[in-house]
Amino acid sequence: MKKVAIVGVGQTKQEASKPHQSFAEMLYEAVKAALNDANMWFDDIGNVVSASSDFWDGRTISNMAIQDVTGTTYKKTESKVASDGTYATVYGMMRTLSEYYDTTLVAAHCKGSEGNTRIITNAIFDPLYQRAIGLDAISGAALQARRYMTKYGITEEQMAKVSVKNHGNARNNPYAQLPMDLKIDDVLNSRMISDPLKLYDCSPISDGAAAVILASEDKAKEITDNPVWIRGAGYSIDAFYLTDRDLAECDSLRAAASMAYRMAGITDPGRQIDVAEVYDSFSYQELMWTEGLGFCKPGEGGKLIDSGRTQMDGDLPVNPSGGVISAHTVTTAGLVRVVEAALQVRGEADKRQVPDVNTAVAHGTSGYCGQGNCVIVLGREK
Amino acid sequence: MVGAKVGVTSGRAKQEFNDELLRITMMVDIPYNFSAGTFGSIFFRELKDSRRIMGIKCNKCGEIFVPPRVLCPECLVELSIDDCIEVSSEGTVEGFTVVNFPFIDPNTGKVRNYPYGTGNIKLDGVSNLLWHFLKESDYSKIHNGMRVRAVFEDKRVGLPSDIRYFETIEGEGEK
Repeated sequence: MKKVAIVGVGQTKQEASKPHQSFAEMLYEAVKAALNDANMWFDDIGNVVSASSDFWDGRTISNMAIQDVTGTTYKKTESKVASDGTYATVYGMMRTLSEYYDTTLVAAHCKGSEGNTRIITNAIFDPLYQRAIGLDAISGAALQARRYMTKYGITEEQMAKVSVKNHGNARNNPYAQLPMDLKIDDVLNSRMISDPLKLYDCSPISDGAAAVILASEDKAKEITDNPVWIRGAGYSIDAFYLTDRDLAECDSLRAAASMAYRMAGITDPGRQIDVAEVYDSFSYQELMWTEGLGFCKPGEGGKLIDSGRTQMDGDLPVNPSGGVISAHTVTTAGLVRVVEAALQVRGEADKRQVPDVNTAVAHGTSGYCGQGNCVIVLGREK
Repeated sequence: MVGAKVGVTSGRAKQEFNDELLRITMMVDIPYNFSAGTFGSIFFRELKDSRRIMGIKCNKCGEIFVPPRVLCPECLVELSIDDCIEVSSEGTVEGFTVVNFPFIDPNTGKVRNYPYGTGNIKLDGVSNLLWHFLKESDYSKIHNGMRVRAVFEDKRVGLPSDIRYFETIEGEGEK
């Protein structure tokens, strides 16, 4: 099968609030950066796939108002994934593979500051049985964290290590919202939000946008000498009701990773992957996702962080960018992972660059507690 | 008995069961605070402070659009705040409808008095249309080609409703 390459990436700084930009102005900043990165302009783009959410945007059919800033007015097709930007990347890959389009612009945006996080994240849950009990992003995650700790003996200290590592890594990333120099005790002593999750176990909700330009195999070679190849992609989804799942397991991530690795020819992910950007909405989730991505066995995410392998100076750094815990633009954060993983493969991640990256993984989630997962393997070689 | 089936099988039982069907009511308001951004802020600030309607003139094709925006919608050229210009507050109706149902104003949460006239107005010199209230709410008197001018509220707050409505300019653009 022919391959698709990433030939341009762009992102805005992720911030608590961006009052100087409407959501369209914000998205344009990321799109323009990606176009400039690829040395292209709107005329060179075949079609657009976007990612955004009606609820977060506060408008019915959220993608209907981004046509100017994605260059699609009157002239091109655009369609939306109402989910994380990693899924939009896979959709864009498929459209490019169809050979109907040479190039696809993938664009995602979210302004978390403009809506109400509590109400919006409560509204994903079942309105008949669960919404009124008060489940939302944080209390749902707290249930998962508690279950994960109970089943596998994961400790609050191990969770805190993720927060310390990723907020520390964010100091090297000018696009991250929360660069912080934390100690484990700072995390453990931070304000309790929903037991066992404390303030520094939780991601903020951010404003930001990201964009990626995909090109067919032949077109990519025309556009750049430094294409980043999509070697593999996979996605999978678990049951809707949290109460139907064993929340300590990430079966859908294992399935998504398995699909992506099979396509990429990866048989030993813990050795063959050089760096990973994962969707750690909460500290404990990075531990779970490293299990689901096959970097360690089920239940050994705590041991993995203890080993130091996922630190910047380890042999498998996870979230050099600071991760989602340092900047969380909903529906966009997964595309930010793709951007960051692509920069790592290109060797252009500046102060957060991991040495000698051949293969990188970007991971996105959709739904709560990692219900849906999308895994993309990027490489210097096809 | 635990585990007993509660089945709805016969026609009669089904009818009786339908009488028992329930609905769950949700009464959640979701507040939003939309950033007007750089260009929107210019539009609403000028409306509020100076009774001026702002547009933007494309530095490539020369067309003028209302409200101002970051890209020319025709040629996709990036525009700047220096391209913002005041446009005419008079124009021509190019489409209209008289709304005759209760409408909840999203800025206030209250039902607006109806019927009320609305129109797509082509402000003089502007390439696109501005959708706004018409003072005239008798649809037998509204017509395309009707000339209108903006009437501003005395007390303005930086919302589209700072323009109270567009009133008919008598003697111009008659049917």
